[in-house]
Amino acid sequence: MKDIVKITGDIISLDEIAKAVADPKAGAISTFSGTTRDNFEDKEVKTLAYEAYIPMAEKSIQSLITAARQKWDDLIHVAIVHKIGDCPVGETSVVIAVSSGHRVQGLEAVHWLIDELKVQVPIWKKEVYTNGGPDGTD
Amino acid sequence: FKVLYFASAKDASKTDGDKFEWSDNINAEALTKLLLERHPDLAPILKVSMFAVNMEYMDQDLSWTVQPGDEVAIIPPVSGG
Repeated sequence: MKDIVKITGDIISLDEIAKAVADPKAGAISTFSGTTRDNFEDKEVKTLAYEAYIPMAEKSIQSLITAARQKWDDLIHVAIVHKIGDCPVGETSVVIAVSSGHRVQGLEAVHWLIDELKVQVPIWKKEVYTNGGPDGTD
Repeated sequence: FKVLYFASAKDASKTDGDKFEWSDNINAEALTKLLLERHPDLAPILKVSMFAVNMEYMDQDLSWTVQPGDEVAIIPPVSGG
């Protein structure tokens, strides 16, 4: 039962991460990808700049996975990979991948993990607007 | 002991972190005062931020005081994912 926790400046590959949680006992691999959207509060976004308190973020993500395993006992492998640095529109900032014997728990766990990550883990994004200024105005 | 600044706290203090001289009885309120003395611009951010001590969120523990060698971090509202 692998827990994969990674915070990286490299481009994230959903395919590689899904492969990393694959298992002959898994009937399902459930995944979530967070991608940079081109708008925020009616302003046009060029990129999101992510920063992290890395050692605490890794610790926090690991404890989310541990908690998820207590809630759902059908989980096999869990991977959470988050990018830091620039994440331009269309690019993936975070991937959560879970393999499970049956699909129900995998899907629920992925949903819960991204919701919890977004409120607990010390990672921050800053919008960089196409208009340059910090609030989207010149 | 050291204090690390992230996100809006880093923008306001214009640095990644600071070292402070340890003394007895620095609780959350005293720490806040120390931080504001060094970086007054941190005021609005500290109002909405949490402290993390040695990588654990510090939960309004009124009996907590900084220990020598602690790593304290200012955690503004998170926005990962």
